[in-house]
Amino acid sequence: MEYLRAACAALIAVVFAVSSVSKLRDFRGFARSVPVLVPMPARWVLPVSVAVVAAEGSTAVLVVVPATATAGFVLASGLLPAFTAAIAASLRRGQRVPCRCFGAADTPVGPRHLARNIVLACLAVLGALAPEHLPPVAGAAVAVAVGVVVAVLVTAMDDIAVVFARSS
Amino acid sequence: MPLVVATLVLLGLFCLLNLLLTVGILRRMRAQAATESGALFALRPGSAIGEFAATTTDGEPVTTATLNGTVAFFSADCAACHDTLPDFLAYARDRGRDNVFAVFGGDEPDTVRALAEVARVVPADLDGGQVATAFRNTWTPALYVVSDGRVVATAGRVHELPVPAGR
Repeated sequence: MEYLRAACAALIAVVFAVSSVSKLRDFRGFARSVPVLVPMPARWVLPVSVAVVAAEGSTAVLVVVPATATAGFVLASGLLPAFTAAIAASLRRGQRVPCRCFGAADTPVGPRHLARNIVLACLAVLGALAPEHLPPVAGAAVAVAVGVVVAVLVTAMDDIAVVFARSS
Repeated sequence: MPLVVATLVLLGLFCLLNLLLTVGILRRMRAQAATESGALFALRPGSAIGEFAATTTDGEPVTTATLNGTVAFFSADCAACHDTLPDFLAYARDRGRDNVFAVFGGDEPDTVRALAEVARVVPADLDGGQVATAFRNTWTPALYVVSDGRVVATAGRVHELPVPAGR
């Protein structure tokens, strides 16, 4: 189970690092997309955008450091359901807004983003609940590698979906 | 045993590299698909036209500097060009012969004669020749509105062209 924790930590760290860095690279675009996804007063848009990027960045950092890993997992398990709720609300309104989860994108949010966030949230909870003591180095390295590979697949989900999409 | 571990690590790294390359290729592929869908025209409004020097059917020289008005690219064996031709002839009569240029690719004397009555016609090879190269134009029919060596507007059909002011 401590291997599970190491793998989850690597996964959450990479996913959140990629999402915060890619949002920072096009921060204005991200800020413009926030009120489209979640209707809010105009004066809230900037603080909310900054808060989201900051929370994602600090999650990535916290989860990597063994001493604060649990805090990182808890933060992730708080953020992910919040994002999921935002996407679900937008889907319920019948909007097809692009998901800027990982920076500029033209893929509209859909059920698969919901599924992705729910799975990530479950893994964050698992990581938080897993035993804290550090595993042997070799096993930890393998676990971290697994986490990184899964993280790459998760961040590239929209790109990979194109390959299997029915050509319209 | 250490050899096995080292080999496995190496293989793992190769697999990860391969995965990253695949993701990179997919991203590039998507980006390209997005740009190609709306890019029949390499030059957008505001783009500068390349240099060229051509001669019309009447023997008048045409260069980038003297090109002002509407430039149309047509070619032989192009059904859409023939469909839009009557509209274009009416448009050209309206604008006046000095403001309308037609680049005709291929060999179709009747069409060239009809165009030459209302516009200055630059005959060219099927690929559109020098002028097409200056406009980086690969499609027919293609219409450009040009002013001072820059593109003002582009269109695929005559009715999509901006209506000149004062009408």
